[in-house]
Amino acid sequence: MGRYSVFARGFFRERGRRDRTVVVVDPRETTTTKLADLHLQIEPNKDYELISALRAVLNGHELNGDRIAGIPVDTIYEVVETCKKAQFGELFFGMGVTMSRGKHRIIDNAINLIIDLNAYTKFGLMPMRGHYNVNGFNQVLSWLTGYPYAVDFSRGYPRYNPGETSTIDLLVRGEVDVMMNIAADPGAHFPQKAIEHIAKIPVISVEPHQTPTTELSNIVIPTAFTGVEVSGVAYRMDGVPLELKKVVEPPEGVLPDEEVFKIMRKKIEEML
Amino acid sequence: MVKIVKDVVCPFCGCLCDDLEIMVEDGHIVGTRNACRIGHAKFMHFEGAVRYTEPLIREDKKEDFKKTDYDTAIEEAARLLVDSKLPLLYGFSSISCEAQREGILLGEDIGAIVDNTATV
Repeated sequence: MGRYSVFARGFFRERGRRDRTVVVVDPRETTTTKLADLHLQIEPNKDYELISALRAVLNGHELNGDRIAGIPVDTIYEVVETCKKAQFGELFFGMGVTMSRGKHRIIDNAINLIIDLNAYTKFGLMPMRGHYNVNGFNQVLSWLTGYPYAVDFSRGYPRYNPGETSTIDLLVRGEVDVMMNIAADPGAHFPQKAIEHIAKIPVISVEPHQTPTTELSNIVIPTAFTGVEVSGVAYRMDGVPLELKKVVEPPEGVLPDEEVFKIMRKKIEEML
Repeated sequence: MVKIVKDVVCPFCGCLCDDLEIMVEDGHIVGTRNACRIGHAKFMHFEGAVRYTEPLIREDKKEDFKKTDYDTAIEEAARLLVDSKLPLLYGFSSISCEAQREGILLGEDIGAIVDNTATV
């Protein structure tokens, strides 16, 4: 919290938290809403509606009704004014936006809101990342194939069509016949229908811990912790690459992920 | 003697806080500074989780795992991937970019689907 979030004292924000305004959109009360200047307690699945209302106000229209998406219209006017007056604003969004009703269309609307706001001030938007190197993978894959995720190499060249070539859809439709899971835990986070297919097919886990996914696996290949036992590069969620440090030695004989893939590629080359 | 490693980048979430200090004694991590609770837990292995240090293998998912060596585990994994009609490589978000590159090229070698946690 001290390094990058609202408390950090920066060159332009000497007083840290007091020089910043935090607006939180969340249907629930959370620790984050408690430290916010303004909490928009939105009704679930009304994200698109709220963004549209903000854009309407921003573009000089008047809102009809007392509440929109569960939020008093006066608050919506206030948020728009706050955003317009900001020197530099940023919209951070998470899976509540990408996965609630409307999905990627909500992001589409949010991008347009940011475009509208840039008529007044500098404003950006950024997805919040869970694991430390989600962005790194999107960067490396884009650099190698031109697409950020969900790439299908089955025709010998990269294809990208989320919904068709994305993991959960492929699992739910039962199209893949082997899964190699690398340092993630779909067994704990995926929808039931996807997990049912994972249970049916051979699964390889490249993973240091016992997880619900390793319980569904046929082969578990443990690896060393990057950033603790191995060094390497990771991309911060704003796209800045940083070198992770090796702090201690891995347990004896445990290989890094990179080494495992290198050996596997050599073996595959011999088999093909 | 406790040695302090400074300016450590935290490998937990996408913020990558880069001001951590890690206390190391006899090759073991004994404490952290400036880390949040989840970052601290990653360094201290608090999760109460079982860590594997040897590869495991089993033919049938109903059976118990048998310990094996890296060469056998990787060989069998390679065989499964080569024999597959449409393999899926998923995850990749908690490893380094260097390892991600190797994993993606592996996916290209075998004509796989390559996807990460951003898909969820």
